[in-house]
Amino acid sequence: MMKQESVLSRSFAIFNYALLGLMALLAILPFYYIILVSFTPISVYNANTIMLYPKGFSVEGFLHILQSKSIPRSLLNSVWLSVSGVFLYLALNILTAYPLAEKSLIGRKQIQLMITFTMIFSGGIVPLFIVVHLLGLYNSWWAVLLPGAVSAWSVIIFRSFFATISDEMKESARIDGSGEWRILASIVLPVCKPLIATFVVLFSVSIWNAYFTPLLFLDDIKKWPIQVILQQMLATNDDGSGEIIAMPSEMLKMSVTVVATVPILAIYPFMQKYFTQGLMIGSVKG
Amino acid sequence: MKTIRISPGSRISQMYKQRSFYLMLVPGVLVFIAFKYLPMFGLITAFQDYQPVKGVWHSNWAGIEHFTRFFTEPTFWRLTKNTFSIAILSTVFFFPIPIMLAVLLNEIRISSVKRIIQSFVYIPHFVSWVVVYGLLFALFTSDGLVNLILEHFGWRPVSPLTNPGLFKVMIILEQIWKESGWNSIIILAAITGIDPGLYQAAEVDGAGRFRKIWHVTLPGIMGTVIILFLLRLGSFLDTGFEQILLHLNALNRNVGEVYDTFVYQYGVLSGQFSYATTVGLFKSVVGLAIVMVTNRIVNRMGQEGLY
Repeated sequence: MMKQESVLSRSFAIFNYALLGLMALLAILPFYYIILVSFTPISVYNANTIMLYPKGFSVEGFLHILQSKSIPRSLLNSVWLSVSGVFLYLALNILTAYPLAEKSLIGRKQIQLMITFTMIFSGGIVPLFIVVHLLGLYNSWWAVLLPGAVSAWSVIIFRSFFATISDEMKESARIDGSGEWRILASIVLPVCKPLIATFVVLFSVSIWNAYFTPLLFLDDIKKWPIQVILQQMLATNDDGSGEIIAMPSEMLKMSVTVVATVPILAIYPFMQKYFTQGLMIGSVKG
Repeated sequence: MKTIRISPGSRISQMYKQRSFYLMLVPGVLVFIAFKYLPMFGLITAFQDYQPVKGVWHSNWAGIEHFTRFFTEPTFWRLTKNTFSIAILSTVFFFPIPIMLAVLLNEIRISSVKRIIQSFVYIPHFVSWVVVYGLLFALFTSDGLVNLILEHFGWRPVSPLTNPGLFKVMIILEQIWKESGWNSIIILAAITGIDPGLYQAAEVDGAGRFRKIWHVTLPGIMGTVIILFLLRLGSFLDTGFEQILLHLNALNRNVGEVYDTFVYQYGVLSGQFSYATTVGLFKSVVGLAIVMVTNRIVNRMGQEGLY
């Protein structure tokens, strides 16, 4: 392969593999550990100080967790927020980006400027907090979802993608009498499937992982998603409902951590092809 | 659809023809106005003695009272020092890592190994900071794995979660762990965009692996790197708010409290809306200034900036 590869180049290659291999290992070792502990029988966990490899398998930790009141409920909240959020976010981004891809639109530059300005300046947490109250949205799912629904970044990526669709196709459809909505639905969107798939992944992950926005805008513990409950448990040893779960505290925290992230990790292998392709497309065009 | 005469009549008729587009824009624009621009106007409460009961229109004016209070508070210097040092450390130590990672990954010839490493290295991006804190808990508390192992070998335990001296180091290391992989995707995309002919030309000129990286790869991604750098500066003072908020406790507050957490503490938790908004406004203005100055410098250097 390399006819005159120097010793330096060879040893660099070895060093490279080792270094990157180490980085890859470090990336997953913490997960390995908490998953390991979470799936251990409680008695085995109590008997061992250090566990580096599986000793016995049990889901009793998870059964304890799922029998609590707050955790399954918060999981449902997270699912509800993620699923409805993805639809909401996709709809808003597509509807906003598509007209901006139309070069002849009057006011296009101004609207784009208005959108990109938000990338470098913002009002901050407190005014947002006040606005949400003034709009009567406090403690509602809207407050958790809407502020992050459209960002300059996502609109720009969608718009760049839409801009690559040939004008001729759109023009001929218009001449045939199609309205813009029909053009969007039947010509433009089918072509954008990889981009949409990518953003389904990105949106659902970011909503599932949201901690601060729900904390800020949801007063009612019953509405809290899993990340907020997890944080409560890590910080205060209880989940706010006053229940006691019969598990060693460390193991409990690790198990809830696993629960808070396993859905994402489980879908991860399937997601991978979507976001690597989609992000590359989006970034190159953007 | 081109209008030749630019008279009001034809512009309006063109807008009417494209009314579907404007209709489509309505929801998104409303969200931008409601949740990005209304709060910007809400910054005016920094100059008031805002009370929720009275609302924005009827609260008393306080002029620059809150600003003077903020600049003369002892906390101001502590906050500034913490915010800027974390931001600078992050820019110096965290920002280059995805670039190095991408360049190194690009040097891997066996594509299956490359893909496996990439899969692993992207994973941390997909978990929340709360989960990251959960991982830190499992590893670094007094009963955490790392300390159990250290004690087993007779070494002293570490407590990065409470030790103020380790706070900033941990924050940066965590950012590197979590986001380097993900951020390297864009750099890798830029690398694949480099003309292969350039590599061939370098080969012909006798360039080895390292020369090729220095003379072809790095210049090839420079444009992307600069844009990413500018974008990053746009959020320079944001310092990873959620991450830091989760880490703050009584023991490390001195080194860890930054503008944003201060705003949260005083504004949302303590209800001192106007004062907190003042701090937020200060931070946003400084952040904007940083972007504008850097963009000008970059333009002067002959590279394309953000605008």
